[in-house]
Amino acid sequence: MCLAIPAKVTELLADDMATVALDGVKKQISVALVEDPAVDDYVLVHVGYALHKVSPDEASRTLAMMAEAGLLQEELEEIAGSEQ
Amino acid sequence: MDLEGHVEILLPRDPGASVEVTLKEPADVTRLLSGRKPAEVMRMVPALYSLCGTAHAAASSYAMETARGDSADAETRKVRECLVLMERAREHLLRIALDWPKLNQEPPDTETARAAMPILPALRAALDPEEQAFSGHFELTNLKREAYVAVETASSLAEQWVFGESLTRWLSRRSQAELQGWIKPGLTGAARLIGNLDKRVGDDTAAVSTVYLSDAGLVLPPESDDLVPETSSLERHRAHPLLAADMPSLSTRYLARLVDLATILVELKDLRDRKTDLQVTHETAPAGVGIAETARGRLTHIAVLRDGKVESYQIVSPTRWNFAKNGIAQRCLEALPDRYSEERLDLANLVLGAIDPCVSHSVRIH
Repeated sequence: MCLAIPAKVTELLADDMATVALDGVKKQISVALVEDPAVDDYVLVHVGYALHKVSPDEASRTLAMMAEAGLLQEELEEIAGSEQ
Repeated sequence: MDLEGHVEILLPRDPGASVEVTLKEPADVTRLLSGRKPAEVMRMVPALYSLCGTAHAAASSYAMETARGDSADAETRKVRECLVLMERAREHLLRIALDWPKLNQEPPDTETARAAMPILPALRAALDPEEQAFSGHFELTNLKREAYVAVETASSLAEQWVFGESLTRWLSRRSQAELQGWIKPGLTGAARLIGNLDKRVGDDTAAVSTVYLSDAGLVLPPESDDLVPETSSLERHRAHPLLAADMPSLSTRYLARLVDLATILVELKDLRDRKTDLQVTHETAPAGVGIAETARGRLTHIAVLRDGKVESYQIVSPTRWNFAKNGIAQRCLEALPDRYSEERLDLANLVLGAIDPCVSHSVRIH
C-alpha cells in the first residue's frame, strides 16, 4: 500500500540516476523509466525507481493533503514559500 | 516517521528461534478521509495512493457503494475491472523486468519496464477519457481503437520479453514436461529464473502448507496469534495444474505470477474481442467493504458512513496479510534450511521476491 508521495528531483546524475528530496531526506533513485527527467520535476517513487512525473499542481495538491494529515511539514513550508 | 513503509526481516542465528517479520506500514492518511462526503473521498484516494491508484479507486468506489446499498451498473463495473486488470498486468511486468533479473545476477530490464509504463494510461484514455468510472455511472458505447492498441501493446511486451512465445501457447503448457520445454531453452529472463530456482532450491525449500484468504471469510487480519491466510497470484490460480500443490515451492510461487500475467492479458484480449463477458470479482462483499485484486493479492477498503459522510475508513493491503506475524512470509522463512549465513540470506531474498511486499524490505541475521 504505497503512499504516492511526490518527490522533487534536485540533481540529475550519471547512468539514469537522480537525487530526489522526500520529506526532507535526499535519496538517489533511478529515473530510467521517466521520459526526459529534469531538475525541479516531481516524480512518484517506488522502491528505488521514479515511475512517472506528476504535474506541479498535482504534486502540490497531494502534498497539501499529506500535510493536512500531519505529515510532510518541510514540503508544506516549501510549497508555501514558493507560492509567496 | 517512515512515510513509505518498510518490511524488516530478522533471521535468528539460533536455528530453533522464530523469524521476526516487522511490517512498518506507510503513514496512515485515512484519518484525512473521516467527515468527508463519499464523492470527495473517492476523488482523494487515487491521489493519495496513485502507485496502484486504480485498484484503490475501484476498492473505494465499491466500499462507498456497498455502504450506501448502491451498485454501479454492469458496464461501469466492467470498465473498472478492465483498468484494474491492466494495472495488475503492468505491476507484474515491472517487477519481472526490474526485480527478477537481480535474482538471476542479470541487469534490470529497464527497456521493458519503460515500455510497460504507458499501457495503463493508454487504456484509461481509451475507456474512460472523462475519468468517471470510479466516481459515478457512465455508458461505454463502443470500444475505441486505442483500447485495442493498449491491450495489444501489453500483450506484445509480455510475449516478446517475458514468455518468448504467444500467450495462448504459453498457457497451453499445463504439464511439467510442457513447462520444461519452455524453461530449457532459457529464451527469457523469466524462463531462466524458473530454471535456476529448480536447480538451486529443491521443491521443499520454503515450502509450507497454506490457507487462502478467499477461503477464510475474513475482512481484517486476526489479532490473535492464529495463522494468517495468504492472498496472492497463487491464491487466484491455485487450481492450475502447474500450481496445484499442498505445499507450494518457491518456483511455484514465481510461476503463479506468470500465470496471472498471461491470464489477465488473454482476458483483456477476449473482452476486447467480445468473446467473453468479464466476471467482476467480489460482487457480494459485505456492506461498506470494497475489494480489488492487485498483483500482490487482495486490497480491501472498509468505509462506515453516518449521515451521508464517512465516519471511519480503513485500508487493508495484501502486504498486511502476507507479512503479518504467522503470515505466509514468516512461515516460508522459517522453513528455510539451516545453512551458512550468506546462503540463508540469499534464500530469504528469493522468498521475499516471491511474496513481494509493496514496500521496501531488508533482511538481517541476528
